[in-house]
This record gives sequence, C-alpha cells and structure tokens, in this order.
Amino acid sequence: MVEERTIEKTEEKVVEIPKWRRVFDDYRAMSDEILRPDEPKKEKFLEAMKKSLSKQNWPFLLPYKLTLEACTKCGTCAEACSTYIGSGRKKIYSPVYRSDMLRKIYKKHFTLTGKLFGSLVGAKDPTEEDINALAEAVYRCTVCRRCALACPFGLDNGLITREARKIFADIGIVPDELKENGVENQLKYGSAPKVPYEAFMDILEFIKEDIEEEKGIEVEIPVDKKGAKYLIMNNAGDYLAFTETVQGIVEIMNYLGEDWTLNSPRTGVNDVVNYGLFYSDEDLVRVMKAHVETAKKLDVEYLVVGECGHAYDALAHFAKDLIPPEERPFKVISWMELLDQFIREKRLKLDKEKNPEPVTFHDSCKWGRTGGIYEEPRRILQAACKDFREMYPNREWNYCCGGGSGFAIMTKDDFLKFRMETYGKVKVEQLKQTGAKIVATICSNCKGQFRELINYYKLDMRFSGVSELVANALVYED
Amino acid sequence: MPDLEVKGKKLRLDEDGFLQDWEEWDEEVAEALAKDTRFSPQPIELTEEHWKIIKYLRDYFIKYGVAPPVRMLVKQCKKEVKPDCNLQYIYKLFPQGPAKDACRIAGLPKPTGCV
Repeated sequence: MVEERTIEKTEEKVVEIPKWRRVFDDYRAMSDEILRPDEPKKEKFLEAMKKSLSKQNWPFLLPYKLTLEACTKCGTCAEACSTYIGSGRKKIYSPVYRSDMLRKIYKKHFTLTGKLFGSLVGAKDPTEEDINALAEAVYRCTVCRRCALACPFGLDNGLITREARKIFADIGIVPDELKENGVENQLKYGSAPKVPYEAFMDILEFIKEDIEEEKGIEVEIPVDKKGAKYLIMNNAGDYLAFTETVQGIVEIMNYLGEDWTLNSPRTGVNDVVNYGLFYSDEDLVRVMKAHVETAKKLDVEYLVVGECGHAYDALAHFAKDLIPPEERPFKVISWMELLDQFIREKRLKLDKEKNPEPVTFHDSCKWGRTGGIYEEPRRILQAACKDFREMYPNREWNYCCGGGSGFAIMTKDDFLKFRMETYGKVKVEQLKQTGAKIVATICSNCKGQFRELINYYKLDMRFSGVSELVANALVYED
Repeated sequence: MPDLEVKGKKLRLDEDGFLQDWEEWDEEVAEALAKDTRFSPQPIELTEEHWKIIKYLRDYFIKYGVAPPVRMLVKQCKKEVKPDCNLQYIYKLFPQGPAKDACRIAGLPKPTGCV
C-alpha cells in the first residue's frame, strides 16, 4: 500500500517593501516615521536655526559662524574626506557641499547681503525638498573632522554637520538608534541596550567563569563598591558584543590588585556612551549629568572611561565646560592613560610572544583627532605585542572607520551598504596594506564597523580591543 | 510598518524586520522570518544548528530580558553545536550576524546600543 502524503505547499508571496523616497542620494538613514518627508517643516527649521545662531549656543557659536562665513570653497576639505574619496569623488559627499547646503540658508535668512542680493552672494531660500535633503545629508558625515585639520582657514565642517543635526533634533528629526533607542533607553534603564540588573550580574558571572576556565585564574569583580579609587565605566557594547574587552580589564585590575569597581544599572547609568554628543547639546548634558550623578553616588576618586571614544570626548572635554567643577568632585581619566601608566610603572609583566601575530592600531577619531590620545595605546600595544605595525596615514591623519557619530549602529534601508562602500572602502585598503592579522581599536563604534567590514570584504583578519591583547600577554608569577 | 503573514495571521514587524511582539513567536514564525528576503539578501534554510542557537537566544531573552553577549552565544555554540565555533561560524549560519539575523529569527526585539 502506498502511503499517501500530502505536501503542503505554502504560497510564498514575495512582497517588496516600497523603499523610502529618496531625498538626497540612494540611501536613507532615517525612516519615514522620523523624517516625515511629506510634512512641511521649513518654518520650524528656520526657527530652530535662529536659535542655533543665538547666544544660547555659546559653546559653539563662534566657530560655527566663522565656518559659515569664511569658507572660500577652495575644496581642500574634499580631498581629506574619506566619504568623498570612497564614493568615487561624488560632489554631494564633500564637506564643502554639505556645509553649503546650510550656508545658503544662513545667507538668505540671517545675513543682510544674502537678503539683498540673493543668489548673487550664494543665498537661497530653501524648499521643503532642500530641507529633507539636508536632514539626510548630515547623516552621511561621521563628524570625523579630518576636513577641519585640512582646511587652510581652520574651519570646521564637522562642527557644521553637528550644528545642523542639532537644528533637526530640535524639530524632532533624529535617528531613533541615537535618541529614542539610545539616550532615552540609557536614561531610563541605565544602558542603551536596556540590560537589566540580573542580566548584568549574569554577564559578570560569565566573565569570571570564562577567565577561570581559560586561564585557570580566580578573579574578583567588584560591583557598585562605594569609595573605590577607580570606577571603570564601559560602553555597554563591551559587555554584550565585545565582552573580551571587559574580560581583559577585569584580568588586568585583578593582576594589579587595584581598588576598583564596575557599576550595575542600580547605581544609575552604567553605559558610558553619550549619543547626545552626536546630535544635541540638551541630550549631551542630560546624559553627562547622569554619569556625574552615578560617579558621585559611588563616591569614587576617578571615573575611568573604558574603550569608548566619544564618551571620553564628552566626559573629559565637554563636561569641563558645561558642568562646574564643584559639581563633579572626581577626576576623569581614560582607561588608556591609566593602563599606559601601569605599564610604564612596570607593574604588569608582559610577554610579547603571547601575541605573535602582526597587530595594527586604528586611531578612532574621537580618541585621536579630538582627544589627543595617540601615544598611550601605541606604547601599550608595543609592550604587549610582538609585531606592532603602523597603518598609514595614522594619528591625526587617520581615516575614520565609517562607524563614527553613531553610524556603527545605524543599518536602516541600505545604510550598511553606504557605510561599507564609502568610508569603509578607504579603510579596508588601509587595513590591507598593513598586512596585519589583528586591527586593535579602543572604541565600540569602530569595533562594530570593523566587524561588518571584515565580514563584508571577507578580510583575513580580526578586530580586537586593546585590553584583551594586554590581558593575553600577562605573565603570572607562581 | 511591514507585516508578515503566518497561518493567515498578520504579524507586525518593525522597519528592520524584527517582530514587534516577541510573544507572537513560534517555530513557524521563525521559518517565515528566515525566508523573508525583504530583510535578508537570501532566504535562510533553518538546520538543526540554527535551531539550537535560536532556542538558546530565546531562552536567555525570556529569562533575562536581553539577548546574551555574543561571546556567551559562541561558548554555548561550542558546547552544543560545534566545538570549534567562532564568530565566523555564527556569520556562516546567520549571514547578517548575531543581531540582524539570529535575534531577528528568534523573534527578539532589535538589539539597541553599541552592539
């Protein structure tokens, strides 16, 4: 007897999602829900722009206006920009083009000559479409500020991107990855990925067990320890996606027997990121204050910024301008400076043979060009790795990985492709030329971008934080 | 917002193809999510290896409210699926990676923050 079998065949309907309307180029960083391309917003935009040009914007007003007024359109910045180069020199991606989109509006509405002479002096009254295009255009620049270094007049097109993002944030246009699912999550739950207390403790338990299994070393992980000398606050990504980094930090601090602590979401904020830095002064300060409150609550001597570039920028630089010293009774230091100090004090015995593969270092824009942290990670890597190689160009002239200013977590529509095929393309060439097997970097944004680049271009290498390479080289005396 | 039809029922997805309501998930939903080429360049054929990872992600999420760290996932995969599992192997199973493909098919909300 033949058994009858019915094979159910489900109708497979391929439903294409209509792509969001193109407003600037072939990509969209923001959904229709956020950008609202059909909603008139010119009036609100101009109102917000007026505010951005007022004294309320005191920390940035001078370089902002100077950059709007003094540009001679020489185009030097374009050749410094890796989006422009990587895209095959598409004009729309050059810094000067992007800034000019805002500059035309500035001239038309905020200068006398522009009001009188219009297009003769480069002024233009924006259409709704111009506003939509600008909103997307400011999310094609990672604010790496390499162009600012190249400008013969010292003008800062990166700052213009950020000022324009601020104007849009004021009228409710910000990628949800940064605002709604970033800053708001962080302030409500302690971290942008919303890691609950129990999960956080489980991750630490995992780290402890993993070190014990791999190294045969028992470690202690202090959490929420009041009065500790060092509070090391990490990027939540270093717990979830790049756990090896926190693992490295734990191992190093145990080796040293230092008085230190990590902090759980119960103490306030335990994710060192500050996405507000990318788009809004108000949100920058909200997050900064939450960091300060957390460190105060724990009564620590140092708030140590882990492997997170923009967090260092926010806490080491912006906080000094925006929060009075008496309101932040602790010192801010980066984990790189601290680790470098420990190594220079010869407190860590390291065996380079344990890291025999060629290692190169990627200078993150926020650590390097903005933060000036160049030599610390190099000294550390040279102490821990047998074959350290520079990538060229490097230090202040290094190219952005393409994940900066929040891009590493933005993947809507074809945005990943944009990241891979503009900035990413330039970065990959640079990486290949080093012949390195490991690219070390100290920023979660960069790590996330490298993860995708390595996968997209099938590179025969891996990425790593600096901390895990150091931990790997530790020599334990019996 | 896009939706996904499974057994005549319309499920709401977010813009990146993640289920809006993680409780609506079952194995047939997972199959449909894996085949949804709107959010993945090619359909993913779910094998036993995929299922072990999907179930692990899901159990962890239900217990802790967040997806496990990637390293934890790789370690679990070493125990249950492949002793020499690494991140590349996870990408082999889930071409867009642990978040964009594995979590999505497991019906977890889209991971947020620097992950």
